[in-house]
Amino acid sequence: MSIIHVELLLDREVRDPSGRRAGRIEEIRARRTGSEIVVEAYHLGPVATLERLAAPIIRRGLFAAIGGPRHSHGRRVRWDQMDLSDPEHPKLRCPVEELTKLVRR
Amino acid sequence: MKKLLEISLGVVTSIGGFLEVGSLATSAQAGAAFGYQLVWALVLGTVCLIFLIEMSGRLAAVSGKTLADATRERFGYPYFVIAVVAMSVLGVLVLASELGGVCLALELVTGVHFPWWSSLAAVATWLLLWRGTFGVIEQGASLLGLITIVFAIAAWKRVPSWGPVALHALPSRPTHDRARYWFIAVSILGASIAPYLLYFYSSGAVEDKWTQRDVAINRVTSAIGISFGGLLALAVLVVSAVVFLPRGIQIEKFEQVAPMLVPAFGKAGFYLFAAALGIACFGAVLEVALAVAYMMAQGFGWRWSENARPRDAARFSLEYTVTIALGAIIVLIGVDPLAITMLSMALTAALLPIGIVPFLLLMNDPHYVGSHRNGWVGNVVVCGIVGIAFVLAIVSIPLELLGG
Amino acid sequence: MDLALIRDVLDTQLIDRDGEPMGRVDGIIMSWHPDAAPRITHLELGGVTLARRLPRRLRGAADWLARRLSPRNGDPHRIEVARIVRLGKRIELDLDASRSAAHASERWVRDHIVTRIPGS
Repeated sequence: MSIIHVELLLDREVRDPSGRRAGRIEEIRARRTGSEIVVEAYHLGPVATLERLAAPIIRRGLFAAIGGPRHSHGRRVRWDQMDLSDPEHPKLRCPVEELTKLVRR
Repeated sequence: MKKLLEISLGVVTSIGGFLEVGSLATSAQAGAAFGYQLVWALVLGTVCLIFLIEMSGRLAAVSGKTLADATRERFGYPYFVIAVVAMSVLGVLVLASELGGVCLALELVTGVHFPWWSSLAAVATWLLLWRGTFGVIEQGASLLGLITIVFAIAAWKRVPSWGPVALHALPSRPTHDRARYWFIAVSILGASIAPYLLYFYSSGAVEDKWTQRDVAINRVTSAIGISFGGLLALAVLVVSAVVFLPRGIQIEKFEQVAPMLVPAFGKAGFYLFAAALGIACFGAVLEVALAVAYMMAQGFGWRWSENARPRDAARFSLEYTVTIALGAIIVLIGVDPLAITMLSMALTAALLPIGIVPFLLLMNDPHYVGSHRNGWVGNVVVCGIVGIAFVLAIVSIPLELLGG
Repeated sequence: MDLALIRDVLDTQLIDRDGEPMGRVDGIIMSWHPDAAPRITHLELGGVTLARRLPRRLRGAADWLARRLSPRNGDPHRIEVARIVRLGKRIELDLDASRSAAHASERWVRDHIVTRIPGS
């Protein structure tokens, strides 16, 4: 059992067992029941910084109006698919293809 | 009645924020050196500021959060620390120039050299913050600041015709002295689009507990208030053009600007100028000190209300105290107020993207502004003008430092 | 209740039982085990926590500064998750700020500087 700082997970690149990039940790979803907060999933976002920061504008389709990407892509990693034994180098426990895609409009 | 009070928030922000030593110095220099040629820079700066102030009010009204609050939450600590350090350092420089303006006004009236006034002026402004409430400061500065109307009256009396002025509302290339022209243009933009105003305005809106219903009145407030300030700055520019340009007077020191109201008002004009300068700068010192303290306190989550007694918002109170003290030290050692003003205005323009780009992202994020997102006009206008300011700053500051 | 930890918890303003501001969530502590769903155990506050979030080159200086400015040698303050009353625009805690260690630097500045100046 290890103590991990969630705020330091932000923007860490995640790779799958064969070393392929899956994305950067952009959000951690959790559920609060009573006085407990349990982590359910991690959302991975694009690797590119600019796209990350501008995500809300991309989603609005403003970028699309000038020919840019219309959706920002992401992947959802369930808690059991993520290996954080080395928090500085998060690893997937499954191949990238098994992750659910998130397409945010 | 409440509407009148809200409009006064816009007006005080405008007068204290717009017509202060920065816009006075830059507008006066522009008029004396280039006549009406730089009117366009004032127009751009004013328009941009109207959009920005309206946005910061809308952010506060819809999200219930101040700009610093929303910035820390949305972009996290690592970005916030860059912004707060940049704004704090810049804030001390700007405060020093405003305090210098108050001291210069006192020097004009008494003949006592300005650094000697720095402690008195600093303590006076500090005392008002220490003992006063936001409401008192807002309304007091608002009413006293109306004295700056003397510039508008002088313009009305002395400007032969307004056609040529209007013509120069469109950008034009300089007829001479290119480096200086663009440097003054960038300083005008930096003097107009002062980021500290946004932190101040959104904090005031939250202190006054604005809600979504205030979004409409906020548009009116910001447009009227900032236009008022812009017109006053324009008045300074044209009066300076009419009074100094024909005589070929180049403004190198602030004392040279002092007689600008004499042709319109006679001997009283000299004292009116000093009064207007002193009062406008006094208001600006209060605003800058509060804006810097608001940003840090809100960003770190401390208690920050100006209505609270100092002991109940200890770190916040200590912060504006330190800011004023540092500014006072700069004035005390006799740094030329005109030089520090022009420099801090140009630096403001250069650092604008750091604060404004994330601000625009916030204003397009429904999580903060709900359905009151920016229209494309606001985004394009602000991006465009800030982009211009940034490019001009990068180009002209080195040139001015090398040539000046 | 569904939570987005980065967007809705991290860097959010904390207030105590009486609505008094108590700082912001500077860090979130998670307890991780390979075979169980990770649990959030504490919220963390403090300059040292913030320093760790900066790029490596700035971390040393920021950490030093945080420890110098802290009245309690700079160890971050942790708040158990059970103390969270409500999560919303601000996070309400079942605590009294005036007694909480998280508020120590506010009290220190008040007692050693601000109240020594007349009119406070």
